Amino acid sequence: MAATFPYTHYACSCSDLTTSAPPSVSAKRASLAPGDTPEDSTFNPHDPRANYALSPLDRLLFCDECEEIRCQRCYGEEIIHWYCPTCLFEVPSSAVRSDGNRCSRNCYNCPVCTAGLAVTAMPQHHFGGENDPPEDTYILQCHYCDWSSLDIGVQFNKPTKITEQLAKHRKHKAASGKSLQHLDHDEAFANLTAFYKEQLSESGDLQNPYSNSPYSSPSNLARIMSLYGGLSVDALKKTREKPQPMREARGEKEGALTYSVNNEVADDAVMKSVQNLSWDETTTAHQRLSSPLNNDAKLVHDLWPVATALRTRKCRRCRSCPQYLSYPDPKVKVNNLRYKIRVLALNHIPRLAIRSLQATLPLPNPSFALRAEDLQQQQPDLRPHITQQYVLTIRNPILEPIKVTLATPSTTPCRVASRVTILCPSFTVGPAGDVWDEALSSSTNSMAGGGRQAALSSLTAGESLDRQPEAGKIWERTRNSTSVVIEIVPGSLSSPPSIVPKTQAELEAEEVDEGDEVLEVPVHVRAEWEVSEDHDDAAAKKGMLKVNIDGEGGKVKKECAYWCVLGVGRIGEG
Amino acid sequence: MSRPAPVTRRSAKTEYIETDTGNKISRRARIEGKQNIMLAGKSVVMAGATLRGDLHRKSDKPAEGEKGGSVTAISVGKASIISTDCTIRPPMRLSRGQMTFYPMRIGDNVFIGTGTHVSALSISSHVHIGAGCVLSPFCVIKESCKILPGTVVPSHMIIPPGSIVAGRPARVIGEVGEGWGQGGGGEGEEYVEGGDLRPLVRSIK
Repeated sequence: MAATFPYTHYACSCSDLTTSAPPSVSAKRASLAPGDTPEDSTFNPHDPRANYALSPLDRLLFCDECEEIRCQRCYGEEIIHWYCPTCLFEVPSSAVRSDGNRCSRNCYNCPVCTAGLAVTAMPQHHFGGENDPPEDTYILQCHYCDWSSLDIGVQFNKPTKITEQLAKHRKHKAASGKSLQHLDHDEAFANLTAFYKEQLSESGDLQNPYSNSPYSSPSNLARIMSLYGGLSVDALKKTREKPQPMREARGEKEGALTYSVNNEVADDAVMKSVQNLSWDETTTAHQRLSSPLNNDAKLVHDLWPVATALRTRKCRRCRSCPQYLSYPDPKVKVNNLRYKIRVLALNHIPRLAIRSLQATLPLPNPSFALRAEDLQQQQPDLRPHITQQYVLTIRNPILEPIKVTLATPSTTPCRVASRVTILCPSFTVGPAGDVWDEALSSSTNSMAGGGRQAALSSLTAGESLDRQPEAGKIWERTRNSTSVVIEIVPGSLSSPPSIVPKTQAELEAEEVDEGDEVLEVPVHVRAEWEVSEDHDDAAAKKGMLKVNIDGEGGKVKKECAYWCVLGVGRIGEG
Repeated sequence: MSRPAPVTRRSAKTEYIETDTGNKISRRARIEGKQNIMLAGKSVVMAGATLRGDLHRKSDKPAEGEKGGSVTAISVGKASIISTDCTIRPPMRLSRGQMTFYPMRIGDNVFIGTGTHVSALSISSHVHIGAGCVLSPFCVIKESCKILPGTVVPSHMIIPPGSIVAGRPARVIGEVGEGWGQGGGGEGEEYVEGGDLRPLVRSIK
């Protein structure tokens, strides 16, 4: 989704592309290639289905009880309420169905351009000598494309209750223009349902034709008839009507639209008018589908204003456990978009960010381009076969220090194979705390005597030119984040020329598909931390018994593992 | 508007005038009617931005002897950024032969991209507006919205909170994620759309 490099996308464990994690790597120099695990357990970001598993961080939620990431496919949505986007009024769910999911107040959209229609008063001309106050007439006007309701010949007497006035005008139109227009859609539907209901009851259910007569069976009736005299049983049988078989609708009264070949006069009229049309006067499919009233409109001047469709506010629940992940405040008109419950993944999982080693902080972000020249800047392409060094920063959002283990395949699993090496795949990241924690802890540190050296080193380390990334060493550590260095050698798009001429199949296999030149690195992240049992909310919710793990003062080990894809850049031609 | 900090005699003039509430106003910004413009604090007006504070409603006739109070034409919230070459003009309406201007309110943490024309009636907080947009008079943008670059928002349109808006005329094409505005702006972190813009303000020099 992100077109700007560098980006980080996280994979939810719901898809079958993310299977079990490779075994945790030992602290060696090179990252352990998962050669012992089968090849398909590595997440391949160029897989055609990979896009369905990856999401950017702001779309991911987290379930506390299951302690897992929930992506858009893993949570279910329920509608809390409906509201009109223009008037921001909440519509009760009972009224939603009857109004056809549309606003029943004065909110209408232009049928031609879908912008909003405003109720404006028509300018009045005062004729000389008029003593009567002029009547205000109102029209619906689109300020974007200059369409107005005068184009369909509709004016209003008062600015409120536009829905009623529009309905009245529509009926007048339908009544007057009956010859060319066939049955209105709604009328046809109503006629047809009434007809079929009638047919069902007429054709005889044969369930129990005697159910509503006082004689519950034919033998009963026959017996009593013979007691009191009257027609015999045979005569009765003959006079009983045979149930008619069910038939189809005939004619407009019953809901059927008929077209005859002989209706030449009407057809000629239509054909003549079509000859004088320009393309712009015909409706597009989008305009016709905007509202049921417009479904049959062939020409732009038949289009009717579209009532604004309602929007919904939804709450999200985990699919496995019925825990609310996100519950917005039901009041629409509240100034802040507040949430009653909101459990975000970015507050629970370690976050990765990648940037080039030489890049200055903070990075220029194209969506925050402050000047017009910044917009034009294209990010430079990566050159193949040249080693680039990147700094990967892991940020820890939770209150405990975590031990992070990273794993990535040594060559990226796609057609353009780039070599990736993480110089320090296993390290710890400090806890996130308040800013006060950091200030207090740093003051005690400086008093402990090691502060002077630390201060000196921080002064000189401002110039990072002299620092060389070393294997097994952390690049930088702050309060709640740690940075390590990754070396990436981009592969080249075209394979080297060979002496033996290639077959057609080989040539086709070498063609660069769209998206192949994007360098994406899949990284498996595994974080482990310990939580004291008092703070172990999730286990308490599950009602688990307190088991003393490790025998040390009731600490529970937790871990979380996921795949993520780092988008580094585009590979250019060598 | 707050007083600018006392200017020290230096040979080179700085690009931004910094006030004591932390607002940064570029010297190359074109501001008319600066008495009628309120910047809440830590907001930035960059070079080439035009702010028309002179288009304001004529204040009502004051009672005898009292001075008419100043009328705010444009009020901008905290940590909002108005990028280069923007035009901020309060919306006006011609009613009964008289032109009336309405005050424009811009909320906190609003990022307005370069070259946009803003005539909206109000922009709520945590809104991210892309480059080259046009917000026609009297449109209302509710909080936590994202307006993609190049959109033209028709006049009188109300954009519901939390929507992503694009196109000409603008249509709501989606909703922002739950994590809108969260998770950015820490030390050394990237700026997040809709998030706290104070680090970005600090970095503008």
